[in-house]
Amino acid sequence: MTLPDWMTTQESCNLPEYSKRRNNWARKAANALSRVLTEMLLDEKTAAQKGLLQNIDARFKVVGIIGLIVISTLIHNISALALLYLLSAAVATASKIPLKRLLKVWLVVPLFSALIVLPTILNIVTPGTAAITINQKLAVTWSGLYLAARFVLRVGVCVTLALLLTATTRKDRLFYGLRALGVPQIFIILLAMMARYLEVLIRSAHEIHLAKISRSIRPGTIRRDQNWTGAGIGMLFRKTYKLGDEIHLAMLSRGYKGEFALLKQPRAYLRDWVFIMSISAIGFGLFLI
Amino acid sequence: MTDKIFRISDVCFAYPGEELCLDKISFDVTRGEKIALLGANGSGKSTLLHLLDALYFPTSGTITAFGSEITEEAVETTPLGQRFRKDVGFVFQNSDAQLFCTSVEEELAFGPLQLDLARDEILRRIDDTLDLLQISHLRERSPLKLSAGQKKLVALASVLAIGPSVLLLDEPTAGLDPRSQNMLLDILGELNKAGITLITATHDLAMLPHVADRAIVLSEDHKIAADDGVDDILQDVDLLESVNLIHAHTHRHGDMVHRHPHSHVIAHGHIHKD
Repeated sequence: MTLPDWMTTQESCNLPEYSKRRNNWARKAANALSRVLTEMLLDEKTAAQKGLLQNIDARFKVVGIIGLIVISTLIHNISALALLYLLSAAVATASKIPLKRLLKVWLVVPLFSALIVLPTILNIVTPGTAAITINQKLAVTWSGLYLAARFVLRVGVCVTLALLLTATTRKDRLFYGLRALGVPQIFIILLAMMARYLEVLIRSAHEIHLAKISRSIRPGTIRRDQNWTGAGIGMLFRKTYKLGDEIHLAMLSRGYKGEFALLKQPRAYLRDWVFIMSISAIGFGLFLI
Repeated sequence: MTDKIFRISDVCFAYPGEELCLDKISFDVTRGEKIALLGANGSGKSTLLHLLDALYFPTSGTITAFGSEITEEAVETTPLGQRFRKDVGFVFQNSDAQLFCTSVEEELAFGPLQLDLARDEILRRIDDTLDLLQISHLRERSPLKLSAGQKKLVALASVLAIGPSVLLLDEPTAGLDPRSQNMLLDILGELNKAGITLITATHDLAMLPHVADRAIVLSEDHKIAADDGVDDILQDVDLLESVNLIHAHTHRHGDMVHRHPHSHVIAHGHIHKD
């Protein structure tokens, strides 16, 4: 075997002049998305701990917490919403949800919802008594502030409750809980498969991306990056399709006939009934405030 | 009970729109045998395993299992299909594709639940299989979080829990570290001693004596090049070279150019038991 000359000589080639690499927002966004998805959907460390909500049957938890989310969207009293926020924070602590995870939800989500609702505080959207006068025509009104605060609180409560449900429940139990709500089995299977294979596909996407970086000598143009991203998505789709086919064959091989059965039929304990009755009482109480 | 498990007669197979990837394949499999499907990459051994598991069906020719012809209709619409799925287990090369449940326990329960077994019986099977493969500590774990060796053991366990009499294995030791490889080979040996028929697709000659007594060699033109005892196959250097399982290696000893087949088993004339 004879290697071509260019492969064996170390002559300098005309590398591009060093230029500051432009800020690759797409790569950063993809990495952040991958990290958040993995953390939010696949981390089951909290669900495996022994905490308040971890002891509750998933069916009761799904019904109770979704019920509270619905109630929080119907309550108009800001004190009641603040109370529900405090209560969900206390339950999160009792359920050993890491503070870091809670803070992410509490800081980022209300911040974004505050940005969305910002125009509401002005008198041109919500007329009322001026709290802060900006100029002769523009002012921040008390009623606008009240509406904005209520919206932000409501979003915060809903997101915290959703976090309570997803962080303290193993995915398979969560899906079983959804089944108890009457969600068709085919959707439950699809959700379970998605949760199972999401990380495999995230890893694949990450590897495709790293392979590209390892052979990228100079920053590409936006157009070239767009082409590459499109090709990468296509490649991932083909991989997903192939994996899906293999999974289906593996299921058939083990006797799959179109019906998924579960090994453990969950039992309801006294604590589950106490939980659902407490939720009902809290919901009722919140309407009275 | 018939001793002839599979009879494969003149089987040809092609994926839609592609060339034949199996050409006039014929052989029999007897109960309790330990067979290797040996061939280079792309020779068609994995496809043949899919055909033996009735996941693909021949383009022409016939496959008979336990005395009945295996056709798509027979597998999907008659009790034969359920019986077949119970008797023949397939351990895929890609464990990630095989482990699709959310916990190891659910994974092992999947097959038995499809057989409509009683829950106590299913739980007993799960306990026994996990104990047998020494992976009881993984019971509550998500398959996603396991190492490659653990995934392979769980994949094997998920098939064994069904209670098959035939195991089809696609490159079972590929990608495993030496300890996991040895453990898996020991387990397969024990299963065969207990009467389970093993059919393993591999191109690993070092592993061959551990997984098979008989080898069916597939050539790169997708035909059977040989069907013989493993010892005879391993000594047939010309055959192994012709099917691309070994290659001639040339190197120098001083001024002398030395040429010999490049394979640990062939070149050194021995295998390592452990």
